[in-house]
Amino acid sequence: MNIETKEGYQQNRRYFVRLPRIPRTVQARSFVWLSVTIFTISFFLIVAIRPTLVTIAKLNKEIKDKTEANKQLQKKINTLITAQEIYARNSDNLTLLDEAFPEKSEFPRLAYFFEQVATASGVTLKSLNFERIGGATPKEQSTSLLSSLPLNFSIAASGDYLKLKDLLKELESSRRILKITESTFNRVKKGEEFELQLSISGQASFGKGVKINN
Amino acid sequence: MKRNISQEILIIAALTLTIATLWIYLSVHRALNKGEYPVLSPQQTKILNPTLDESVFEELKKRKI
Repeated sequence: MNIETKEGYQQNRRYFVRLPRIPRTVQARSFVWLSVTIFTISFFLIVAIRPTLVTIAKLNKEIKDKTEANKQLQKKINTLITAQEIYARNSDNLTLLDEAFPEKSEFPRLAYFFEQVATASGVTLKSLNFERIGGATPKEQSTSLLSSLPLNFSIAASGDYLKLKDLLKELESSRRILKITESTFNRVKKGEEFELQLSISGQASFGKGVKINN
Repeated sequence: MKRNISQEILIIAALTLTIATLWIYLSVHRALNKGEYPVLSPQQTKILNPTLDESVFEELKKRKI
């Protein structure tokens, strides 16, 4: 293929494409260089600057979160130290709490207390019944600080009104927490005479502290 | 007015720069606001109330066993 001559070019011109003329003005060159600069800046922004800035932001966030957590833990430590001091100051009195809310039902002790109170009040104890019902469910145990189990009791005593009233008062002032749910005075015929009877129903609780599992 | 190829490249470059800048801003914003996981669990942050009514003990001492 000879393209050196005009005839040769004319014969083979179908194999050539006419390219547009490359602009060579100052403005066009400026545009090209400006575009190259902007592309370079964009490239480094995406490849280098962005990961750096994201890492800095993440570290800042982490520092902020951990500083906040540190403050909360310090606050918790301070309250624990205060609680520890209060516990140490009142450690001698903890037996009182065990007596008021024992871990076991301790119904023999409770029965002895009822007998003692009845004797001190001068009334006759006719009957004394204990009944343990229900109990805290595992769900309740896991959500509450205290697992409380009820121990129901019922007392029947006879005597004169003032003594029975004393008995009731003594029961209400018991160190062990007793919840008196019902008290009834009845007149019962005994032979020729009438006898005043007091029926008391109540609940004594017991249990122990449990850990919160949530 | 007919634009030549250099002007079109410049427009594309400017758009690329704008998008890159916006992407960086959004990435940083997301990194600052998105918590990956809480540092402490609710159980760990639960604060114990250390107050105790000590008069209860005096009251209990007065009561009978």
